[in-house]
Amino acid sequence: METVGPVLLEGEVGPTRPPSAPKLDEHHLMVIEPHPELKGRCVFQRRSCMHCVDPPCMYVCPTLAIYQVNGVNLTDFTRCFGCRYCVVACPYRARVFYEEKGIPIKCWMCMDRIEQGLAPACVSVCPVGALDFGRRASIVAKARHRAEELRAAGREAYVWGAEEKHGTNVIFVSDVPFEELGGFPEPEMLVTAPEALPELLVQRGGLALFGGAALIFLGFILWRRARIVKAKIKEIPMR
Amino acid sequence: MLELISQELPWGIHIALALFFGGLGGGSFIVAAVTSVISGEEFRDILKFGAYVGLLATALCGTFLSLHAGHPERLLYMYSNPTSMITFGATMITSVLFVGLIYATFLPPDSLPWLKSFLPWSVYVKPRKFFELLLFILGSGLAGYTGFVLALSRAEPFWETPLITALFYASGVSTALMAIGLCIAILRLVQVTEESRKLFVEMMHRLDVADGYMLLIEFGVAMLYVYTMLNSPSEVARASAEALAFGELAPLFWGGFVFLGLIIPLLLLVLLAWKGRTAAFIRLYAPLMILAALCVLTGGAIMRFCFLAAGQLPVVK
Repeated sequence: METVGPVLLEGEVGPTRPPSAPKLDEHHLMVIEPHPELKGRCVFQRRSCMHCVDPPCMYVCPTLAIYQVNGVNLTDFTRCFGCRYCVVACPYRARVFYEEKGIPIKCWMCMDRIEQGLAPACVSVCPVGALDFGRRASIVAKARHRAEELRAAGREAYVWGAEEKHGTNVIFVSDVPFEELGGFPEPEMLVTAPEALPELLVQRGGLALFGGAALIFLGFILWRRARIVKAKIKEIPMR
Repeated sequence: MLELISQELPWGIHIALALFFGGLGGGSFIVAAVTSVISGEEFRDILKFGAYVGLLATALCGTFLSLHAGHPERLLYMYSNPTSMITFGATMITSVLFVGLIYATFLPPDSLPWLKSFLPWSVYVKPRKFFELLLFILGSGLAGYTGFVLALSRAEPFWETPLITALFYASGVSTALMAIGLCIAILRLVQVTEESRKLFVEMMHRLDVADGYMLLIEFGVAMLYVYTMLNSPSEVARASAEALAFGELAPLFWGGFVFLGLIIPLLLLVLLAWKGRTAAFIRLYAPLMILAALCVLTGGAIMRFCFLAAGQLPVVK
């Protein structure tokens, strides 16, 4: 099934040095972060939940409180017990813990507005049309087309989210490499689907665990053997 | 510094203590099971204190997890997702508590002789051995879980290594050996009887030698961990390792974990293994063992916090 919901963003040229941007917190589930000195101009970066196609937060949640509806990752706060594993597991650092309420919160792509047939609030209010909203396939196509336009105009162009880390439902187009913007997972950072769990368990834990257990047993067996040898030596009569 | 860091981190001091007590709890049952296999009934005190320390530490692990939770009243929901390491850990904690409690009934304390009449099965050895085997497996699961939960968090390159499980597992066993030694040494200070002296020294010598080796393994794994992360292809992992080895966590890591938690107790344990059974040292055995145990336990808790915080520091920044 096709998903709804990606938002398209392009690095835009800002007129002057902007004020410092707010960080993601319980009052700011989506922020526009300025990078004042990238390529000699100010580049703005949208930071929020990327609504991963295979969301790590959903797989690590012990209470099954995190679920997907048409590509939008949502949280059932009546099940969440506030362990913050999803905060730790988010590769985009988009979840923040709301201490007062004891729950981790994040952008929910204005699901109430989507249900009423409206676009998310950020898309509706963007004055320069840098954000867009629609079905994933059409937004991915639009992002690639925009990147081609930029390249044709002699600018660099990068797209994030079509396939990277199993894909996201928020797609970025930028003329600045994502490593320079920051906030995106590195190539070395594995964002894995649950199918890979058994393999990961063996790779990262199982071998070490059973190796450790075997080592302890071996140590104790050697220790025991040393004791037996020592006892036998004592039994040998002195000449 | 400690307060500042713990306030900013998603997983702070409560989780570090939960991981520490989880390792200690699992490690205690591992030590009890292995001691029973190799020494039979000779060192029954190690089995007893293994069970008591294991139960208490596992309960504390659960308590700190609950203290960390935003909504502890919904704790029962955490058994819902088999792919989540927290669900695995919660299952391990519950199983260890349940089986550990049954196991402890086979080992009632000598100071409460009336309790034995309520636990007539405590004289049977074979069923106890079965629970020991079960607890060795569950205890390994619990001690291993404290590493798995970080290694499989999927977004922290600093934790994405089998070494974290090896380190936490080794530390779990090492702290358990010393916690059991601490209990026996305190008991020895309280109840000084000449006939128990030989057994005490024999038990302590074995705990001492075993923990010496475990501390060496822990030291080697920790250094290998830091070295591999300092040379990791991941920039985030390198930043974490630098914070741990040279940055804001360095005083805690080198002073609290390496010096206080490894080097000082290692020197004390070598001294006790070498001179502990001589007449001049015999009186100092219990106090020095208590000192070494307190150092290992404090170092173990600090180590959990250091590795937990280091993985999250680049995120906070």
